[in-house]
Amino acid sequence: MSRQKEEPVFNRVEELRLARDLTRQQLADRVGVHYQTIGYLERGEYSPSLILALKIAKALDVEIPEIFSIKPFKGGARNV
Amino acid sequence: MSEQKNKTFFWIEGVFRREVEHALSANRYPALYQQPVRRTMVALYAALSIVLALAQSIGTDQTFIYIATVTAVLLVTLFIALRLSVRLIADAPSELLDERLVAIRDRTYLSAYRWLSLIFGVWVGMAIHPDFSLGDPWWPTVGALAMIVAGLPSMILAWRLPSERSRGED
Repeated sequence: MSRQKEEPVFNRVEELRLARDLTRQQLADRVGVHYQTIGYLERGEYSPSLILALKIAKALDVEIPEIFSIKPFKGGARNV
Repeated sequence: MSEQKNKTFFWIEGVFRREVEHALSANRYPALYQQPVRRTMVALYAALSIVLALAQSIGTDQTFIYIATVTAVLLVTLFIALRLSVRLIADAPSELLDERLVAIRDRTYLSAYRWLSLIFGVWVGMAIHPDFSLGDPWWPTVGALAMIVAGLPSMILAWRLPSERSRGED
C-alpha cells in the first residue's frame, strides 16, 4: 500500500488552555509530557496519540470532539 | 519523587533518572539549544574524530601523542556537550520521555543505524586492502571510531532538531 499524506487534525488546545488560565508547563505537567510538546501541538506541528488526546481533554475538562477535529473549528484553530 | 527513585540508574542506556530529568528541563545555557550552535558542535565533533583517526599522519613521532591526547580530551568534552544540547533524548529510556520525544529518538536511531552501516561498510572495504593498518599505536584510530559510534545518535539529533523557543514563547 502506498503511503498517504496525513490528513490534518485541528485542535483548540491553546484556546481552551488560556480560557482556564493554564500555562503550557502546567498543562504539560497534568498530562505528563514535556512542555515543548504542548507548544508543538498548539502550533500544529505535532499530532497526538489517542491516549494523549484523551489526557488533554480530561485535563481541560472537555470531550474529545470539543478539542480535536478533522474539520476546522469555527473561528479557526491549529491543524496538525 | 523519592530520593531512591531519583537515583535510579538505567544500565542499558547508561544514564541516571535525575540527569535525564534535569537535562529535559534545563535552561541555564539557552544558546546550547539553538540549531546553529548544535550544528557547529556536530561539525566540530566530526572534524576532531577525523583528526584523531589521522593523528599519526599529522604529527611527528614526538608531537603525535600530544595531538592525539589533546584531540581525545576535546572530543570527550564535546561529546558531553553534544548530549546535553539534545537534552539526553538520544540516551534516555522511553519511560522518561513523552510520546513525541520517543518518536524523535526512535527515528534518530533508524538514521544512526543506516549511517553506521555505511561507515562500517567503508571500514571493511578499507580493511580488506593488503596495505591496511590500524597504525601503531592503534588506539587513536579505534578511539575515533568508538567516539563516532557513541556520538552518532546525538550528532544526528543535534543536526536535525530545530532551535528551541524560549519558555516565554513555549
